[in-house]
Amino acid sequence: MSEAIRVLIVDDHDMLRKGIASFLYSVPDLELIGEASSGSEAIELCAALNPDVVLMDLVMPEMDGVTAIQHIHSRQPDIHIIALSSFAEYDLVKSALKAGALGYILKNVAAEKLAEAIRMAHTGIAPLSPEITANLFNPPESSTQFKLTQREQEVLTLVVEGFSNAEIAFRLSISQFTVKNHVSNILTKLGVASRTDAVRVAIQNNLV
Amino acid sequence: MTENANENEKIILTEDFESLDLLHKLKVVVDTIPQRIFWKNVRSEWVWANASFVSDTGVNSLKDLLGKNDLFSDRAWTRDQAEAFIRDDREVFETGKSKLNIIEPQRRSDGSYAWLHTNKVPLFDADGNVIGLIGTYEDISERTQEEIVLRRHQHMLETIFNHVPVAIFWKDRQSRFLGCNAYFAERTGMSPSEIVGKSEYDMPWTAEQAEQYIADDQAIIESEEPRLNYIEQMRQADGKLVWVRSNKVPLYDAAGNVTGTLATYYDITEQIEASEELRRARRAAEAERQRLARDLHDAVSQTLWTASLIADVLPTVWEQDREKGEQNLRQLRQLTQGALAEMRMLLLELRPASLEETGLHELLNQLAEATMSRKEIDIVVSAEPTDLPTDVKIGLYRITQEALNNISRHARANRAMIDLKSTGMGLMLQITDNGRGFDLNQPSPERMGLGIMQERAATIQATLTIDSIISQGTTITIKWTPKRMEPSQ
Repeated sequence: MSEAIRVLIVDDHDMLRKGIASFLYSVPDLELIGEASSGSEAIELCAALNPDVVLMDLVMPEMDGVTAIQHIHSRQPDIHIIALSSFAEYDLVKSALKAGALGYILKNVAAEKLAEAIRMAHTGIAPLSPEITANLFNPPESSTQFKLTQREQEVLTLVVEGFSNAEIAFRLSISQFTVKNHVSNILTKLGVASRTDAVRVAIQNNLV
Repeated sequence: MTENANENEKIILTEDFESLDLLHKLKVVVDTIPQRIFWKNVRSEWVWANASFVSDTGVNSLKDLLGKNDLFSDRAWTRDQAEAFIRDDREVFETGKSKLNIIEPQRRSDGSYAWLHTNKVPLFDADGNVIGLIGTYEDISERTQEEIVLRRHQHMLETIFNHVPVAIFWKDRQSRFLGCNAYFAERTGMSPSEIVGKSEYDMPWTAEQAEQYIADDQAIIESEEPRLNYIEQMRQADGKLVWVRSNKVPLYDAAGNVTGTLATYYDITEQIEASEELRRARRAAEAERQRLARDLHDAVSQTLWTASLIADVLPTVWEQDREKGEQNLRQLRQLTQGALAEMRMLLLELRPASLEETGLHELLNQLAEATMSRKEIDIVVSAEPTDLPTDVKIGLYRITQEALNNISRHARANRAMIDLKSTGMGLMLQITDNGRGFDLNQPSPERMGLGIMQERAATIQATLTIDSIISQGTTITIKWTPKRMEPSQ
């Protein structure tokens, strides 16, 4: 049997690290070589231990995962990093992959699949949870698609928050007539007939 | 007598007995007319009076009045009134001029009050010296009562018109101002008279607004429909942008034609700002709740995932290494218990009412348990049930939550203690850890959390002190005393 894959785990959740440690212990071809509870600790341990694969949590105090990935990837590009997170938000996934993570696995993965993901990463194939793949090909529509002006964007945000035209006029220090104009332009651009529909479309498309 | 009331025609009295005799003859006439007539010397003493006057004073005959003045008795009128009558007399004596059309109250001998229409005319001797006066008065109570009521109404309307914090103005069909009250004038930076004849374009607001106001007027003039209770924004002369609630109604002439518009508005900026403030506060509270719920939800799912990961591999581990397997089982138990604690916290946070219903000692225990399910840390809680005002309880709970957050994120401690005990009148809450400590004078992530805790302590009027020794740990002490024992509580 070939040499075991040397794995470093990074997570601020102590019990979770323990759990992953137990899991790695049970898989013969995977070897736990170190644990870090923050991004900065991860950078130190990577430099010291040069692991094959890093399982990196993203939301951590002191230094977050994305920053740590950037550091490690730029200094030790051979280390394959898997972002291990409970969040599937498009922006977070994108920034982790952009920073140099090879894969992105959600914290709902079964033990077997996690082992597989580590093996894949070791050979340089990007492991992605199915939800993440789906998300990556369906990025949330942004306001640029509807070509809203900055002012219209501001007005839309206030409409979604439930402000009336008069209140929006007051907050933006513009006249009610101008607000009325902005709102009707927004309705046209979003292709809807009412304020309520505008709010719905805005929320569905992450416009605010 | 009316001739005598003429100021230019002075009555000349001589020692001539014929003149006196004439007066005696006239007495018959003057005693029968409704006017009261009296004659006073320069000391304001009555020299003569007609019968109706005598009767008004409540005495039996003229003789009882002669040589006396208005102060003779408080039966006829009050002392204040008498003094006022004498003051008027003196004015007539000193100026030598008549005092006409005095409208004054008088208490009748029966106790009721009458309104009098009084005239006082000076009497001169041959050398032009004032030697007395002739006075007449008439009871005009009925007439005056109506006038007083009318005048009062008018005065009240004027007072309201000029002091009510509502702008009132009216315009002709061409939207030219015809009048306004003081409040409106002040907001335009003009006087009420300056406004007359001005157009909307002469006002401090923008041309766009002026146009809109004129369009509003025209719509009302054409449709003859009032426009009521609408909110709009306007620029005052002082540059302030205010919110107002407005009303505009058509004005008609006697023939029923619309002659213009009457408008009122009042400032509701404060209400609008207050409701915004409230909404902002609510949104902030809601955002805080969402964040907590999200954090807790994340914590619960991570804990459960870890448990499932361990359960997944447990059979294999058990086969390989029984001791390791038993260790995994213990972990599994700890994780599921932790998940339960976190679920309870989540429910508490999602239902603020339940947070209010739960005792502080119980909340502290749950906080400790939830923290222990994530971190390898042993937290001992020593807390007795306490009876605290809700805001104090929630405040202490939030401080503890923040302190435990700090400990699990930054302190690298493996032991912590939460100690809640009563101290006579109040209580003391201590959260101690054996972590790496920090320098209170150096910026650190811990210090940000401390700021939040200090703020929370200040809101419930508690004092919060921090002791931290590098590599030995941190102690946070919160002391709270009820402001004063209210006797009713």
